[in-house]
Amino acid sequence: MNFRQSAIQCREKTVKCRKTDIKELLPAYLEHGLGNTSLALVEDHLKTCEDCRDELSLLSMLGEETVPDPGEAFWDALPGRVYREVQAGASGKKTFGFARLFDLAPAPRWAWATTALAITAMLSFIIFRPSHPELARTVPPDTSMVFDDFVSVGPVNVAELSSSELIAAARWAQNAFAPVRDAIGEDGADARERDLSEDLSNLSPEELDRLSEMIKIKEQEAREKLRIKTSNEKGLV
Amino acid sequence: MDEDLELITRTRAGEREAFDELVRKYQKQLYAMLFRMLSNHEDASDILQKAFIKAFTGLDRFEFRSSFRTWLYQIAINLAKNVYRDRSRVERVSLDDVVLGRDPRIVEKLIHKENRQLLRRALANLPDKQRITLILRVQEGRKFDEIAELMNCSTGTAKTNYHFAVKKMKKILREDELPPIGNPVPGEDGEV
Repeated sequence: MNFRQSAIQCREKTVKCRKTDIKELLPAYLEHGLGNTSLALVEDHLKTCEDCRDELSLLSMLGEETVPDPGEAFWDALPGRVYREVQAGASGKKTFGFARLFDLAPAPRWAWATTALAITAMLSFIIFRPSHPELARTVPPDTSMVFDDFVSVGPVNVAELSSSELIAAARWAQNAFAPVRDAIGEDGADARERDLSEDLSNLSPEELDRLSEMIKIKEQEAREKLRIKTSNEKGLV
Repeated sequence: MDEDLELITRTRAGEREAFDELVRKYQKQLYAMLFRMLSNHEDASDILQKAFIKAFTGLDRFEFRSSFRTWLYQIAINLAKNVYRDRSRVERVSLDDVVLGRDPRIVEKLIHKENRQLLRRALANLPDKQRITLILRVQEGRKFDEIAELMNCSTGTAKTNYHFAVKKMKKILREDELPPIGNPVPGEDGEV
């Protein structure tokens, strides 16, 4: 019997049951929480009492009301929310300091700490960064006169330098550019002195033919470009 | 409730883990009761949070005269009563809510939903104490002596409120037109 039918029957009914002791047991009857004696008492009464059967139907409908679950995210967040509110209440006012900012922010504290550390390190590097590593490694020339002493003063007119100063500058330059010279290496020196005919002589006849063909093609392309350029310039004039 | 005693002592000492554990222990059952009383998530979650805040803010004043659970429920019930008094919203069933078709199950669903709405409205029209007593007894499965403790009354009063609540529910549901929520049925009130 659904609730509407039950309600209609209630409207038509005139006999009301006054057995309150039985009625008080009805919720427990629905929950299957009655002992044998009480259970028998209630079931016997229900066989003959329509008013109590209707009441049981009403209670059953009420008991079936379900509660939707708001979800795990809600349950997980609740203790933290309550804690923050209690803490804010305990301090007497809702302060807005860095600690509160950390609490409100969704990121965990370790993430904020790492970010703060990274920012500090970056600022420290910008402010206190060392001079260029190559310059830092440069060893001053082994001489009684330090070239840096007069270069650092300002622009230098080479014609005004004495012979000892020129020798000191040359020694400094020799030391300063030694790594560059080493990096170029002997291959670079060899390349300047190497004859092209020696390289060509190492090629096979087929490779020489292909090279010759490529040179011809490149030459024709260059001539064609030059012709087009010249004709365009004439057209403009 | 020795477990609660230990958790409360640790919470008072400032232990965050104990605090969280107490909230987690009661949050779901308290929410269920509040949802049944208030019929929507927004109000239920709001009162749930407020109840916990009030309980923990006054934890130093808690003297273990009752269990922590009873104390927490009492706070939540009182807060929910205030919300209910201020409320004027009425949920109505509209045919637009249900797609009508030739499938007889859809009509059944409509009747079922309408019955639910009628029931909620009837419940909402009960005086506070009767409504809460009925919810605690039928929906929460609390015994009358527990309800008496929660409602701060005698067991006899709790039973009387229960009987009047059921009687009034029947009366409201027999009426062709339900009064708007917030206007209890005129005549015999019966609230003790």
